Amino acid sequence: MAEIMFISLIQLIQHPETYHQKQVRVIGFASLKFEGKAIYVNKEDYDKAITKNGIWLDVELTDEVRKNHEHYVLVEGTFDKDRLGHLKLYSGTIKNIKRLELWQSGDKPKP
Amino acid sequence: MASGKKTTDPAAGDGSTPACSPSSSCNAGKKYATAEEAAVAAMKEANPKSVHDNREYGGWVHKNPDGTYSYDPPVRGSIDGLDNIPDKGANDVLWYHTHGAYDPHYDSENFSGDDGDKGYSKGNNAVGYVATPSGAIKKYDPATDTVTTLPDTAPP
Repeated sequence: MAEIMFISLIQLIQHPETYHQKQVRVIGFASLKFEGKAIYVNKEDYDKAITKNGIWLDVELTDEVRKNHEHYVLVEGTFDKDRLGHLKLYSGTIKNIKRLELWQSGDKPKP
Repeated sequence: MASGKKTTDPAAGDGSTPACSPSSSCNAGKKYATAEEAAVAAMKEANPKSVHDNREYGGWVHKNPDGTYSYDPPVRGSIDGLDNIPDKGANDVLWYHTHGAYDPHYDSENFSGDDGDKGYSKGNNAVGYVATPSGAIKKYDPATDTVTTLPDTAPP
């Protein structure tokens, strides 16, 4: 089973080649809406639409997924440095998403 | 190519029939008097397929050496995104796209915000157009941050 790397979004954005096609786990602020499915480094980046501080999420917007809109979330999936999301506005894509969960202050990631 | 950028195969990726291809009756490459006329023609052509397939389509309009305008064949995106639109070329003046089929969960009758369509127009300093599931054609001008609905339509 492939190792899942628990890293910061900053690390992921700064070193996309290192994590290309690798399984990653990241925590950040989620936007889950039409043409805006992404995880940002923090809420301010989302509020100010600093999309290059975000990673596109290749996920279907089901009711369950949309519950996490505008919340901090934990995401696990495969990183793709070459897919940059809607209109290439983002800094990569997390695809084949296995986990997308609400992240609340004080939580610790499950192994 | 007048726009000076790499040609993108609109059918690449999923093997589906493109909205516009050399074998179809599309008007990509045809000359129009204004850039907006070219964009409207592109969306009239792409929107029926976009709604039918529930996929976004989009591309750029470029200025020709003789002062006329033509649109590049649209690329086919996903259900709620267009991650394969070519980068703006030297002679590209505006961009256009479609929003796929109606979905009650999606605000697809409008441009997405600064984290989407509007941000793309602002970043590229280029007017953007969208054809919506209902057939409306809307224009976003980043210089004035205004959206206008055109009298013309792109019926699905």
